[in-house]
Amino acid sequence: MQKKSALSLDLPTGLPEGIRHILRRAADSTAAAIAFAGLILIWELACRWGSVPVWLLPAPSLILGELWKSRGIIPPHLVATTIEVVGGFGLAVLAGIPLSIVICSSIVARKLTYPVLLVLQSVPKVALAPIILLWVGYGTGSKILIAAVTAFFPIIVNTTAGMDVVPAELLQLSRSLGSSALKVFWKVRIPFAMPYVFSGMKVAMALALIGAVVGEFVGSDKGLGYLILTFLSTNDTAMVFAGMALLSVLGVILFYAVCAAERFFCPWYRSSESDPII
Amino acid sequence: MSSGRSILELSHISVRFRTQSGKSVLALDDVSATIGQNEFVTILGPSGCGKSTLLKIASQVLEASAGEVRFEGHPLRTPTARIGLVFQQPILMPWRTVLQNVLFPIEMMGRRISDHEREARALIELVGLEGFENVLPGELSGGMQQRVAICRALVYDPKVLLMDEPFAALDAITREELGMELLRIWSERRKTVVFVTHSIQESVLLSDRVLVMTARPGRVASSIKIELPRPRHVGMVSTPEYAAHAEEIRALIGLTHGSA
Repeated sequence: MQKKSALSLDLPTGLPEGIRHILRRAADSTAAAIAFAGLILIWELACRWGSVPVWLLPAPSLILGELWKSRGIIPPHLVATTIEVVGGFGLAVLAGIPLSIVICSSIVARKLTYPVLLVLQSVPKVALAPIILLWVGYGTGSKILIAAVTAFFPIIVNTTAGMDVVPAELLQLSRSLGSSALKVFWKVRIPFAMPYVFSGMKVAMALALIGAVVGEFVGSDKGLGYLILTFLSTNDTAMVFAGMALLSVLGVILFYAVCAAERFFCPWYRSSESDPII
Repeated sequence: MSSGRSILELSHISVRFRTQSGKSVLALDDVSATIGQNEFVTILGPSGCGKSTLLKIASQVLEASAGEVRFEGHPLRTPTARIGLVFQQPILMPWRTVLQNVLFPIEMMGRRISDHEREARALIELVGLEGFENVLPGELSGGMQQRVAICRALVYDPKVLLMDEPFAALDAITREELGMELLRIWSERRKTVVFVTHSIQESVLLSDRVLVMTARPGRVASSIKIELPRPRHVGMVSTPEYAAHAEEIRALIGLTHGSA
């Protein structure tokens, strides 16, 4: 049986499967768009008829208008934040996956590293941000590092879990064939872990965004987080909201980029088509 | 079918496990068995009798607490590619096509894929999966996946095939079908097969000899030679010879109804 779409559209059975799939997906996105438009409409109407002060909650139309007026100053800040998020995410992946391999390579390595990681994880990243700024400096590097530290843990946990679920029989078979541990990692454990790695990456991407903005809040002269703080200090609430909206859009785009990469690298794996939870 | 020479010898194998509560459990108690060249032997017993453990020891994936395994006359201490493994689940790699899954052992052994592709394709044809070479396992039924797993175990041409309840997860019809197919492969490829099962029908219908095991601690209660002629077919279950063997085995594992 086909998975029913959100609108459980009854499509004519004569259509080819490809077209049916596209229509079904379109129906799903239409539902999401309707829900979203409805929320914004309620917000708009509430602001207009409820005489809410503009400095408290500006109407969506006002936010959009202000954003359009300031469109000239936005791009460099958007680019700065994107670089920090993607950089931090990339760093977390590049450090996390090899470390997971080390953790999975031997019981001794696991016993040495895992508890340390757990303790480090329990340190609030927000509290860590000023220290990182102190160590690394005011620039982009510190934001990337804060984003990476924030995003790091789900990568480790998921990659390790993914490599642990490899069926024992497959490892026994590999051993009987005389394959080296490195080959087993490369041909068996890592591919098996891929779906897990990607679900870790989805969480990590969202966390990297939070980390980057926290870094910008603590101290910076560019980025969307910096813009939000600046506009807040001048009581320009509409632009604060505009900054938040841009951050959300950036988060959604980066999340779906990870989803697309997942479909590309693990086409055999059908992750539940759940929408962003974070 | 056995040529009389032994290929795999298990002598005085004992296995002791430590449970989580720290208690020591004797899983296998002084088990000895000799498997002849080209013989088809089933190990039959109730669940928990240690038959899978015994198979793991025969391949040296697991070490015995006491006893020795000899393969082709020499002590066997590490797993070897001369012994092929088939498990209860197919355990294929979902990102590899049927052909790539069959060639997996070749890749892991560091041999050249191109030297073995013909053999892999021949095996796929032998189990009736021609046309599915480039399909991913996710699109195959359980029976088809287990056929791929059998090809994977045969592609590097091991002498002995150790099969741990390979058809247990399949439906009854597919199971009978695959059993007969296995016999065909076994006689065509001249392999030695050690086949663990808890199905009396499977054991009698497939093997030259049935090793009947008792539970806790696992011991070999008896070795029964199956006198049914070859080639075998499913219809043999209605012959008196089959019934006599099945009854004998039931008695050994204490399943006889109305026993005195």
